Amino acid sequence: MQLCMQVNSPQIDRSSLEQVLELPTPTGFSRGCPRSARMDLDHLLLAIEAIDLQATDVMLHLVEQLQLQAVIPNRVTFWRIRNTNPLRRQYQRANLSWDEARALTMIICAIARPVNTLMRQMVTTCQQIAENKIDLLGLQQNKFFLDGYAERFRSLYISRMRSPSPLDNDEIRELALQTLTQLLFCGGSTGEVRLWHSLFDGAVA
Amino acid sequence: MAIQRTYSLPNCTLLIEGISLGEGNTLALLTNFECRFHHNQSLVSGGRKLLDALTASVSRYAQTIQKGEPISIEYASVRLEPTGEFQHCLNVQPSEDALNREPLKIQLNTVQLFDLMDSIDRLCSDRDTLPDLTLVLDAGIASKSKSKSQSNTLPALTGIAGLAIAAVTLLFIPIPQPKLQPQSSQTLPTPIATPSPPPPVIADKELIVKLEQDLTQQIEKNWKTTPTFTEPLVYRVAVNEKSEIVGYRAMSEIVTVPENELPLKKLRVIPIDPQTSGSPTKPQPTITFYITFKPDSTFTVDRKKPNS
Repeated sequence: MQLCMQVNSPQIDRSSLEQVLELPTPTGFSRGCPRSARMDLDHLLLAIEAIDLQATDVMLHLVEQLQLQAVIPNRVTFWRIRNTNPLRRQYQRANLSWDEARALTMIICAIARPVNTLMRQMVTTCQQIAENKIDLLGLQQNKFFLDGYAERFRSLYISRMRSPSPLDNDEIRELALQTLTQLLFCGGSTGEVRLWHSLFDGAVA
Repeated sequence: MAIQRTYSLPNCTLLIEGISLGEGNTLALLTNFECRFHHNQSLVSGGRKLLDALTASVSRYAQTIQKGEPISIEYASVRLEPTGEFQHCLNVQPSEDALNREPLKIQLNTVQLFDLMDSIDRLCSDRDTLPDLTLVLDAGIASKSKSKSQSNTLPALTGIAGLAIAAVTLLFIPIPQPKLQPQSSQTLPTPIATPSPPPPVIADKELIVKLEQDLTQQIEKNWKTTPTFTEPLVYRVAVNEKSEIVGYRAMSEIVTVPENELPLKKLRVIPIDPQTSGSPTKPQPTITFYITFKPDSTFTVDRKKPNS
């Protein structure tokens, strides 16, 4: 699965871009972007990487296309922003600014939209596995594809997060599959607004 | 002019029927809507109230899925609840606004629910169809109209304004002058060294005899241990009107005897009764006796200090 092919010609709707820029700053978070939101954003980016290991380059390419250079001027800044996830091995206790969080939200949704079809298929496969229908439907190929994704997510998680790993293997798999549903919903027509609200819904300041 | 708009997705199609007011192409008034699910051809149809309920419940429910913890959400006649890890149930109760006369139960998986949400989201962001219908999201985030700078400066301005008002108000309140009191000797309390008066002594002779007998009895009853001391021990004991020992003190120089051996500690009454007990300002009347404990388990009670 190559994201580059699809993302190189993204259909970015100007009106949705305006909408994103208007993502409101949540109130009640005096200490900046909450911990859970920083984790969620990083997990979504990790899942995108697990779908396509070259996705970091796609993300940096999107920074230019979405005109986010003011917030993310280079690769190092992007790396530093992702390390605001408190579970990261390289976590420096730095916080994520609201604009940086907005930029990550936009990048995630810009990728999630073209891969929406894939997300539909993967979430459906998750459901078929949960309902033990894979063998019945003869869809073992889809299960192998999903397992491959979950394994790539696991190895990325183990190598990036602090050691010992905050989650065990089963929990990492569960996170990987749960993140797929999140990515599916990010691919909707109002994905940015939905993701933005879900990040702060019930988050602890 | 009658207008129809459709929002078509792989798993469901939302059809909006309405009329435009005036010249524009804007669908301003809804007459009917239909939401058809392709997997089982079920149909939700009704008017504006039902559409509003559907919009609100689907939006909120989608948000709980995105958080990873779907919970039941109910708005008016529409209810969404999780029935499995990837299964959701859409319940539509019959209402005056809805087409269905029986309660509708539509089973949706996560992808089908996503399509339902997206069709509604497309309708909400379509400025040419029902412009007053907006995305329903949790009210956890302030609306954009309240800009960040405004929300930050408002508390500061209130604080400064409050201080200014307080300053002006306090300007009119006269500064209180300290009252100068005449330096008369009457007002100043002159400290006099007043030694605490000695406690009154019981003078009633009959009572004294009775108290002496009571004390003897008390000691007799309570002194059970075999003496370990070899010299007679003299104690001064204060007794109140109720024959209670309120204090004692060893008169002999040898006080190495364990206190538990003598019954005095056990018999001593800590004055707590407000009627009989005294206080530093009002000492209770007492009488002093001298008790001599002898090594042969006998003792004497005297009014005067024995010449040991």
